[in-house]
Amino acid sequence: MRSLVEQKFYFSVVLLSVVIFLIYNSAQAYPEFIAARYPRCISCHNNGTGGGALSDFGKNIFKNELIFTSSKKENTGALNGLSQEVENRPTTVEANNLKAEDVEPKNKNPWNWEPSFKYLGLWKEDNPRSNSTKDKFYHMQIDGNLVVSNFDESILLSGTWGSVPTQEMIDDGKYNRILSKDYFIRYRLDESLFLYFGLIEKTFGIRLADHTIYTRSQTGLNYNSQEQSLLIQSFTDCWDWALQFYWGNPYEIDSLKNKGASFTAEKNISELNRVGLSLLSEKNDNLQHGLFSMHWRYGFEDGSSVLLEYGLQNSIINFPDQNLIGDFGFIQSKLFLDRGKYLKFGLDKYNTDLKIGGVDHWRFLTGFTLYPLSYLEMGMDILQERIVSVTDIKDDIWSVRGYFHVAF
Amino acid sequence: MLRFSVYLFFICFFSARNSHADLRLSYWTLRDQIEVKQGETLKYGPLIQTGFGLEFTDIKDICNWKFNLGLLTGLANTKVDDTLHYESLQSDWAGAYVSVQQNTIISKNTAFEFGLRAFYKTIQLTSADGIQVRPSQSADLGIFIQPVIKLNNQTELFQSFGVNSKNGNYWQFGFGYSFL
Repeated sequence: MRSLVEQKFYFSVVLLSVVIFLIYNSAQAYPEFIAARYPRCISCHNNGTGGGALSDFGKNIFKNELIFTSSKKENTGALNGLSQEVENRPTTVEANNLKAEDVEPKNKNPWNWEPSFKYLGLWKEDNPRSNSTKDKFYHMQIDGNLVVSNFDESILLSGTWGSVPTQEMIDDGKYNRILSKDYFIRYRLDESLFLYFGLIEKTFGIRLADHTIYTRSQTGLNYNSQEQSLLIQSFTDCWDWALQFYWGNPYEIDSLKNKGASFTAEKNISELNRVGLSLLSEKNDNLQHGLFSMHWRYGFEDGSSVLLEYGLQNSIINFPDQNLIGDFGFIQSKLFLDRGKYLKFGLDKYNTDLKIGGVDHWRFLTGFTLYPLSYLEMGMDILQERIVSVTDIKDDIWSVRGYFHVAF
Repeated sequence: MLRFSVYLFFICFFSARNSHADLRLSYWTLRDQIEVKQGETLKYGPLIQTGFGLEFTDIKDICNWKFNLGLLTGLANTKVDDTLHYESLQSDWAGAYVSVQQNTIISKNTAFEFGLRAFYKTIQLTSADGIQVRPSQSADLGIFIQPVIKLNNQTELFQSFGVNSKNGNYWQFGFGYSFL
């Protein structure tokens, strides 16, 4: 009889083989927005590693490109729901690497001021239609942001203030702990090289908007895991990479301040097909933490996409003395139905310690995402969490959640 | 069961080769119930099975219904009854299924498949002290739905959700390769 560890090993080998097989046998090309021909975070975010406030370009996409349309004519020619005029825009590489003289000043002022706002509300009901059912509404994100940049955005300053509640406050429904969530200065050193300095989220793997996914929630990469950092990021036709050094979050107590580095690189196999790897090593007074992952992002000409990530996590805990090696991963496919309408299917898993067999957590997701109006995203998901253990049999946990996201 | 699986594999494989079929490799997780009889007493317990599956699609295509044959094997976790010493066992299991399915094309790259499946599964239970006890067999019927994304003319990714007649459900994720 094979042990659980052996089974997981075989599964990992098969999974990686499948990825390699698919990469080398697939000539078509896009992750979520890779399918909209925006393979890079910096197309829509001021922070080139993703997350945080939207850039002007990103707001424009949220306002005009993603939303429903009633015009059949516009729809027929649209590639994955994008308006026809967008098909003639410059490639993302070109868009990301605009020279100073190519950029038309937004106004006569040498400095541009741009405020923005983000809200994400989430309703979740666990174990619906059972005796243990419970539901709750969460304000996942309430952020205000101010960006100041010079006319060609070679220098950009960004600051975000928002609600950062503790778990106890979330349980009590209080969200009035307002902190500076991130702040950074961004220099464009040349056409493809950016330097960031400030309080920034850690760069690692595929940065999905859903931070409840195990690859974010179980790896210390959740919404409020920003660190004081120095980050350098490069974009080329073949490779994109980002290297970040960090030395702690100022709101943490000294013993919990993480000091470390992370690195993400992504190879551009084709316009709609990218593979990458990420490394992270950090420590504080209580633990040493290491992460390694590989990922794949693939888009289709019809607007659908597949994202896949698999990685290993090592946690060396001082008290009590533990050395854990776990794994984590997900696959998410988003099927394009019509402009502004997507079906979503996902599978994610993690295990805290492979050495002793550990406990496998699997989560299956089925849902939809809609962009009915400018600046509005909404969706609903059904989730099933299954825990597979050699020491216990637990009931599956079913959840339903709905969310809406506004950013302008 | 092993002999049965080998026979079925070769039947499926050669049938598939002769009818330009698809071959699908997938990872499964099934939740079900197990029955164990000790003397005159019938005990029930939760059962979680995980493992790999191999499926041959398109064996026959009649009136747009496609017929599939599949094989499954992996590990099962059970907890029937403490008094029977079946506390949290881990056992080998194997299974086979036949299914009929209908396809709905959504777009150039995506499709939905849905249909009916009839399972036959056997589990080699092992008691807590390592002694093998007789296998437990079960047969059930289920319905399933699975979105499919075609990566190119030959390869595809799919994810399946199904429920069966014993109030169980399963998820399946995998990729397929076409001989065409």
